Amino acid sequence: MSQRKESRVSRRRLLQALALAPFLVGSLRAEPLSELERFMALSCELTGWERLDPELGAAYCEALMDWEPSWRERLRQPTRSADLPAAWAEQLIAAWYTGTVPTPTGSRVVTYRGALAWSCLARSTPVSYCR
Amino acid sequence: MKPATVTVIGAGVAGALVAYRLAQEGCSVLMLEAGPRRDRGEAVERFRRDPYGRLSSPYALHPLAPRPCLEDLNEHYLQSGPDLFMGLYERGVGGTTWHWLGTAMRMLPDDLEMDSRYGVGQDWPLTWSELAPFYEQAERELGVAGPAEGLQPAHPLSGVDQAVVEACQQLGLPYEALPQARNSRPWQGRPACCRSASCVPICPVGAKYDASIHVSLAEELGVTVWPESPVVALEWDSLSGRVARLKVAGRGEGRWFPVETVVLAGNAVESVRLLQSSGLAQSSSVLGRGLMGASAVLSWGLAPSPVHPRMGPQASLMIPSQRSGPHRAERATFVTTVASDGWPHGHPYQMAQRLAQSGLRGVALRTALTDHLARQVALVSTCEELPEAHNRIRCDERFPDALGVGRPRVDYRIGDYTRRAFPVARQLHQEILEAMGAQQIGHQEAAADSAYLLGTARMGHDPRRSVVDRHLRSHQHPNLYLVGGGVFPTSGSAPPTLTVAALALRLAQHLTGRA
Repeated sequence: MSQRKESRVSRRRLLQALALAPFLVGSLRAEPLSELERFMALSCELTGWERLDPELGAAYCEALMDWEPSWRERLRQPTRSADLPAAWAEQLIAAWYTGTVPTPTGSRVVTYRGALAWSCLARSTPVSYCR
Repeated sequence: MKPATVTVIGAGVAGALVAYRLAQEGCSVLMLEAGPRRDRGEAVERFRRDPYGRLSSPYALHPLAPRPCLEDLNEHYLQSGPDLFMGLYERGVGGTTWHWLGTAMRMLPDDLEMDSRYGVGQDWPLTWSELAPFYEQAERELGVAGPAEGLQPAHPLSGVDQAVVEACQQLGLPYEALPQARNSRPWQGRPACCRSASCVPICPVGAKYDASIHVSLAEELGVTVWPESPVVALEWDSLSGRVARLKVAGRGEGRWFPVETVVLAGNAVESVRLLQSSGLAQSSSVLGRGLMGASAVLSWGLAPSPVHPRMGPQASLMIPSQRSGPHRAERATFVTTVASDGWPHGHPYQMAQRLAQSGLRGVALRTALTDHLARQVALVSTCEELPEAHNRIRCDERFPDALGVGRPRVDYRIGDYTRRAFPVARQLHQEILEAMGAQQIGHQEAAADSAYLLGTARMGHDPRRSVVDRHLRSHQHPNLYLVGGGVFPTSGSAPPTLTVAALALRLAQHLTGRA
C-alpha cells in the first residue's frame, strides 16, 4: 500500500476532526491525534478561522503531504504553529486562502468558491458569482 | 456552389453587425469564423479553475484559431520589440467582446481631426456628424446604459466611485458615469448586471453585450455561420482586382469557395496577416503599418475607510479632464477611469499570500486581509497612440502557424507623444488619491494588457497612404471591404468598440445601397 493511500482518512474520522478541531490544541486525549486532526488544528491557528471545512482540510492535508513528504513526519508528532518553519506555514495558509495546492506541474484548484480569501470580502461574493 | 452575396470573415462585433444588418435587408450572407462557438457556462467554469482568472482563462485555445495569450506573449506573436505589445484578442463566435470591459464611449469630433486641428496623426476621411447617426444605432444595438440620456439608466456608482467623486469635487475635476454596454435592467431578453465583478474576462449571465448576440440574431434571419472555419488564403484576379475565391480550412476542408463581395472583419492583426500572406492590398506600403495599442498609467492606494471594491461592474466612472484640448499637439490625451475591482496586483489570493509572507498569522492575517481588500482603490489612464510607421504587423512566412499561415511579427515602440502623457496622468492620479486621504500610493507605467488593436489597415482618401476608402472599400480590390479597429486612422480618446460597431453599421448601409 502506498504512503498516499495510508494517509487517506475516513469520513467518520473527518467529521470527528471537524467537531474537535477548535479544541484540539493543548487538549488532553488518551488517543493520539491523527495527521488530519493536527493539520486542522494548525489550520485554525494559522488562518484565523475557528471553523474550517474538514473535507477541504483533508484535500489540502493530503496534497501538502504529497508535495512535501516531511509534512507527514511533522504531523505524526505533536506540533505547534509557532514551531512550523515559515515556508510551511505559508504553504498551509496559501492552500486555505487560495483553494489551490502545489503540484509537480504547477498547481491544482481544490475549490474556487471555498477559498478563504473570498470570505474576506466583507460585502461581496467570489468574483464571477452573482451578488 | 453558388456564392453568398456577401461573405463575412470574422464573427466579432464588426462582422456580426454587418451580417445582421445585411440579413435584415434580405441579403444572403455566409459568415466564416476561425474559432469555435463559446458556451458561457463552460467558460465560467474554466475561469474558476484558473487560480487567478486571467484574461484568456475562460476560453480554450482552439487549434484552428491560434492567438496570443498573457502568459506567453510569444505564443502567437513574434515580438520584435523594443516594447512588448500586449494587444490580446479572442477568436471565436463573438470574438473579443467576450472579454471586453463593456465601455461604450463615442469618439470626440477632434479625435477624427488630429492633423487639421493639432498637426499630428491624420484626419479620418469622414466627419463626426457623418458617424453620429451610426453611433445612435450602435448604442441601441448594444444596449448602452448611461450616461443620463442613455437607453437604460446608468449603473449606480460603486463605493470606490463615490470616494473618487468626493475627491474630484474637492479638486474641481469633472467626472461622468461611463456609458456601458451592460444591462442596468433586463433588456431584449438578457438579464440585468448581477454585480459579479467579472466583466473581464467573462460575464456569467450575459448582462454585458457580446457579439454572439448579433451572430444569433443574424442566424435567425437566415445568415449561414460556419465556426471553426478559418480562411487561410484569398485569391484575386490581377486584371479586375476583384477577390475571386477564398480557401477555408476546418469545416471547409481546405477547399476554395467563389465569392461575390467579401467583408474582412477580423481584427487589426488577423485581417492583415491574411491579406499579406495572400498578397492582397500591397499596392501601397501602408498595410500592416501604424499599429496602435493602448498604453496605460496605473495607480493605486488604500482609502482611509472601506470602499468595498468588487461589488459591481469593473468600471463605471471616468474623469475626462485630460480628454481634449490644445495639449494634443504635444502629447497624448487620456481618459481616467476608476477601477472598481481593486488593485491591479492586489487580487485577494495574492494579498493573502503577501500578508502571510510578511509574517502575519491567524486572526491578525484574516483581519488585515479583510481590511486591505475593502480599501483598495485604483485608477487607470489609457493614453492614445499615434499611427507610427515603424509600429507594424508583418506576416512572417518563416514561422508558419499550424495552418501554414505566417505568424504575426510585431514591431512596437511606445512613442514619445504617448510617453509625454504618462507623468501628467501620474500627477492627476496622485492628486486624486491624496485628496481621498489614500495611503500606500503607488504607480506603474506600462503597456496595458488590453484588447486595443488599431490602425494596420487605415482608411483614407489617398491610396498611397491608406488601405481602404471612406466606405471601407479596398483601394485596390473593388469587392473587398475591411471593418474593425484596423481601419482607424488614429486611436482617439475613447475605447474603440462602439466606433467599430458604428463603422460596421455604416458599412452595412453602404453595401445595401442606402448610403
